[in-house]
Amino acid sequence: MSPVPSIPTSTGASRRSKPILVIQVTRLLPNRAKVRSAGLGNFVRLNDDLGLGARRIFADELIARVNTQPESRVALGSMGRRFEPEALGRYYSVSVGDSEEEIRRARSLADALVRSGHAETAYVKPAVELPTSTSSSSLESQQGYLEKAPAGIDARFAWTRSGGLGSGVKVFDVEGDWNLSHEDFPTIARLSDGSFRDIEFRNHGTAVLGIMSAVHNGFGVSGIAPGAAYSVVSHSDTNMSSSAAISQGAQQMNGGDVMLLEMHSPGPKHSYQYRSDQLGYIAMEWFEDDLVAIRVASSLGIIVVEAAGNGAENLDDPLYDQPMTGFSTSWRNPFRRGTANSGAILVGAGAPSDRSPLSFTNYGSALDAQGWGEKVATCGYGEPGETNENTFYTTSFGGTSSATPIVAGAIACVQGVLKAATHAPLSPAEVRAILRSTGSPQPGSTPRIGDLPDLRAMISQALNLRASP
Amino acid sequence: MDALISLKLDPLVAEDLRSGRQDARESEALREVMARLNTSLQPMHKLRHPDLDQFFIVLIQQANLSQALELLRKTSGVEAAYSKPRPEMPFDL
Repeated sequence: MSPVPSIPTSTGASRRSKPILVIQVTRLLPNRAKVRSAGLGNFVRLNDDLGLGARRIFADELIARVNTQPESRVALGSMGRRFEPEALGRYYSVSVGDSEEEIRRARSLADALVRSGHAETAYVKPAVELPTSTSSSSLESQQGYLEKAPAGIDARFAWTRSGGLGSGVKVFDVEGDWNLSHEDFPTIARLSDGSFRDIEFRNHGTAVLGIMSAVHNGFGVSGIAPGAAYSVVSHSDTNMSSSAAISQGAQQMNGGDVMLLEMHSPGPKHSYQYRSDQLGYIAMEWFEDDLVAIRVASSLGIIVVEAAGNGAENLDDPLYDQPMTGFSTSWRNPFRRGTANSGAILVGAGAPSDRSPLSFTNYGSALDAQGWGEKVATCGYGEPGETNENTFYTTSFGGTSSATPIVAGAIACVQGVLKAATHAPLSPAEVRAILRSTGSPQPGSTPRIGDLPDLRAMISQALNLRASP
Repeated sequence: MDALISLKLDPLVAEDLRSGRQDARESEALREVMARLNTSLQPMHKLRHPDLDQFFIVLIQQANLSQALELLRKTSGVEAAYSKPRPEMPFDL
């Protein structure tokens, strides 16, 4: 079995520091036999010999300021019997691990430093926690989609495999907006600024990213593929159509990377009219410019994972064979696949309980896979009364919106495993074939939305595919 | 608010427009229509690919959208001209 890969930690949003060993090195007093081996010079040598990695706590500039400002000396002097600014220069800190064993070893070292005369003071200071709201306690137990098949995608199995966190894979999310400062996010690159600046768009994008990217850190949620490198691209009303956003993302990606399309649009069923119930909304690939952009991305080997839409539509309906007024004569209905095949993975929304199609999801032969379409725990939205978007979480994200990143995250895990094993990543056609031949099935008599990915089976099949001559 | 028109052009016309040649015969009719509509067109994609290079966008006042689409669809070198609805978020209400 491959070694368990390291879990990445949050780069800027961790709420908890590590414990530290604080040491005040003994002042060198030549007339005291006990400290003959003490003093800063000896401590520096000891630090090197033991590889402690001790760092000065107070900078020289600060000590100089204290020395030159009488009020500082008075204030600091009142804190102890006698205060000498040079004492600040003898404070050191050593980073200590979180485990009980590491903390025990640090305490023993502190005792030994004091006993040997190297330190006047040495103690282990516990981890410092930020006073953020309790909403950030771990919600991982409510992320049923991470569980073993058939209930979930068995993400935890993938995490035991080298590369199974999605390392070495780029994932791009194309939609309106995000809160990239969320406490549970890794560093995420923004390629374009869109025109959608309201909180609904931000919550939506944040929820989508949380499913895939959330850091494994003991609070909030755990992303399916937090080892991948994430970027976001926004479409806009003015100069960046959805297809332009797709091509802009594709420009930055390599074969085997994953692009998520978190959009749907009013379709011909209701004359392209906006509706609050979303009936008749369809996947973006039906529109000619989006179809061409997706086909180009797929031809570059990029795995485009696309929400099928929440229009409650049968995409096999002959209605979709008729072009929108103004499409070119060369346009063909991509939902028929064949010569108009976009190459994208089309994702429907299934019930967490039995993977049956939810009432709103689009369905049809073009759909390749399903994800949870309700009750999804992730970042964003928050509870009534909460105001800090950086600590927003929800347990009720849904739609083909929540289904699509579950499938995209699973694909990123598989690509990461293949890359870690120095195999070529899967092509769009291979991903589609594996999704359609593995996974936890939907109930037999229901309209097709495809199976829920099973990472254990997907990884096995992908490795077998690469192992065969 | 302005409406966004997606245009797909004949490859030769698209090449003329991308090259910025103001005297090219292939794109003459389209340039005249743009002048009549008091607007301009821009390439839709920065990524260069023969299939993407045919696409352009035109921003037009909503009130003039129908007239502009009708005019563009009759213009030589225009293979497709449409205004698609803005995408929305596919989350469950």
